[in-house]
Amino acid sequence: MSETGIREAAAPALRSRRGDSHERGPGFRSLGPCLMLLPALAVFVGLFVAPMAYFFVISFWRVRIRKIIPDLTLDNYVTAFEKYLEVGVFTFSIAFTIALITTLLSFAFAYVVRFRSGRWETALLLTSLFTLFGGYLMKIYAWKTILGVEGMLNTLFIYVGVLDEPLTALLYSPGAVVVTLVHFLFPLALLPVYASLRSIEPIALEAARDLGASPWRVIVDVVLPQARPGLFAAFAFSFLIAAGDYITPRYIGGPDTVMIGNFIQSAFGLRFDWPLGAAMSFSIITACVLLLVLVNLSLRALGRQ
Amino acid sequence: MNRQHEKTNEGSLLARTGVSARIDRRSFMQGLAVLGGAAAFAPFRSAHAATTINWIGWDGFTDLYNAEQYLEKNDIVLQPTFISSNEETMTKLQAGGLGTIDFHSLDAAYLQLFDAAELIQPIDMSRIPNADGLFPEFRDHDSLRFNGQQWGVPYSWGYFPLVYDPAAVSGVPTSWFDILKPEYEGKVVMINDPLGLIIVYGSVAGGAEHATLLSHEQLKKCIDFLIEVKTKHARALADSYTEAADMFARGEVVITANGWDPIVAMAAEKGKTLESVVPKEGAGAYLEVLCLPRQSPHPDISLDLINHAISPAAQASLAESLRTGICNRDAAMGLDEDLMTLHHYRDLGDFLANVEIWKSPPLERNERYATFDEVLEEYERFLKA
Repeated sequence: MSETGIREAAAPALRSRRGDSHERGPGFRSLGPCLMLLPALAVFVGLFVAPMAYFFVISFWRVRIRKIIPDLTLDNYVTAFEKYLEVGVFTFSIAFTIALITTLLSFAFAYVVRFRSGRWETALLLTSLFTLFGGYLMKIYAWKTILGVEGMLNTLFIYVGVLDEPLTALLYSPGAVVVTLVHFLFPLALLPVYASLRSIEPIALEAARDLGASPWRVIVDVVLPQARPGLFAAFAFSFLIAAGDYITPRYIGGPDTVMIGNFIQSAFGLRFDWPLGAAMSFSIITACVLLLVLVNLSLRALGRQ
Repeated sequence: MNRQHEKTNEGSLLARTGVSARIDRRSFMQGLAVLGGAAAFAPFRSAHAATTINWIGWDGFTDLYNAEQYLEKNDIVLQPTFISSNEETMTKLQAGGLGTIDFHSLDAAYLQLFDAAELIQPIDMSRIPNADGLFPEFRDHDSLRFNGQQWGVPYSWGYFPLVYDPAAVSGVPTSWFDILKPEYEGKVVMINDPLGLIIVYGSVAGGAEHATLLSHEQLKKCIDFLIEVKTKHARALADSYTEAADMFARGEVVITANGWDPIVAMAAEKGKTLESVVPKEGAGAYLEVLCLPRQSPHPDISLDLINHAISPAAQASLAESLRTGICNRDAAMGLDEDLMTLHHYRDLGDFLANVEIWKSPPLERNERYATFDEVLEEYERFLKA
């Protein structure tokens, strides 16, 4: 086939690739992306916006003998505030601790992987992400095996003579919830932090060092300002998941670790008080958003210093 | 059609559907389409012949309905939905289950609540001839009849004894208050089952005549006691009875504040030997019934299935497979000695005098007793403490 022949044969495909598609009508270029977005939009609206809107509406309704009755009352929000404030504060404090530890650990690990591991960078990253395999419940049961009275840690401590009796405080305590959730959230927090560090060239760090900056100043003045979006994403991710969790405290939290998620679950499931459960959920969502805005503002302020 | 073609037709589905033996992209896609069509219509054809019955209940109880191959013989496909609590059944029925679910299992104490929520319909007992073979203690239990009608058919029961690890507990506990002994401090497991705890401590600690019919003061006393156990003696608040069995097996706990007999069997599967006892104050019991939800799509078949579920054959298979209490007298009397003793069938009347089948707290607010919602609300005080 001659060169001209090839061009003629390839012309429709080339036109199509350039988007030169007069045959499809002038509106196609603007309609195309919209049409492509439709499935995702339908899923988002159908599975997220619509249920949220429904629960927001019923949060102003009430229940009588397990039947939801339309109303317009703020009673559920008042009850949520009056009866569950203390539990909410406890939940936020434990979630904040988990998010802080997870973010700091993921930053430290991502920093080493990005700037200190040389050719092992990919291997280290993949190894850490490998912990994503294995379900959430498997991690809970793994920590039960490690922290239990007859668990690995107690057995080891007794074997080496550090303890005479097993420590019971390791499991069924707030500490066990923190450890388990940090383990679960670490790889999820690592990804955004690492992604933000990827945009920092090592040469920028070397330049700062050449100009006399201490390792600490390099991190504070060069790395942290550029890693802020990733750090915030990691913190927000960890905080939101921890604040909404009710499985981990149920399995390893012990009698003193009951979080707001447990009461929301109880309102929906056990008590069939969906309006109260919805009001509690929206109160927590609002409080989470406010706290994350505060954290973001604090990170910005730190970056400016 | 020549013999060669016939042979080809016998040899492959693609050939049988007329697709050429030469595989190109078009014929491959046609083949896929045909296969897809066949896959889509194959179950439809079989479902068309049989009737699908949607059932909500506990995991492990589906074999009950197929004793003596009842389902196959009657061309019924049982589509189960498993639950972990009675409240879950309520949620499923209220969230689109009405009109879809044919029949379901329920704790008899919830019948009035389900009726008030307009979820169940009365049962025509003339359609359940096997009810004549039930122990009268279950068949005539007062929680099954109200507003002049019968709302559930009893098929299973059980009780909540104190469970303990004989290797770690000296002697057999005789009282529920034994869990407060100093040697069990930090080794008690409470199962996070509001009514499971109230059934025991409503009368033991609250002083109520019927454990779940509590005055507000009795309810407060009961919850105060539970808070004391939780804060000073409990190692953990187990999420389920299975979880409690797991804790025993891992050596975390030695005694339960509220038990359930299957914990013993569950722990045995994990290699741990446990024992159970009904303390001198007595224990609570539950009665499981089968109900017809409103708008049941197949009420006649459902009633036949309910009748079959309480037949001697089905009941015996239930007792032997799950070791749970059964309600059919003839089936119970034919069980082996071990199962017979476990559920005290020979002296059932005497046993049930000490082990009370629990009743629902009132639904409407009244001066005398705390309502169901008030009990659950007060239970949250226990959880928060």
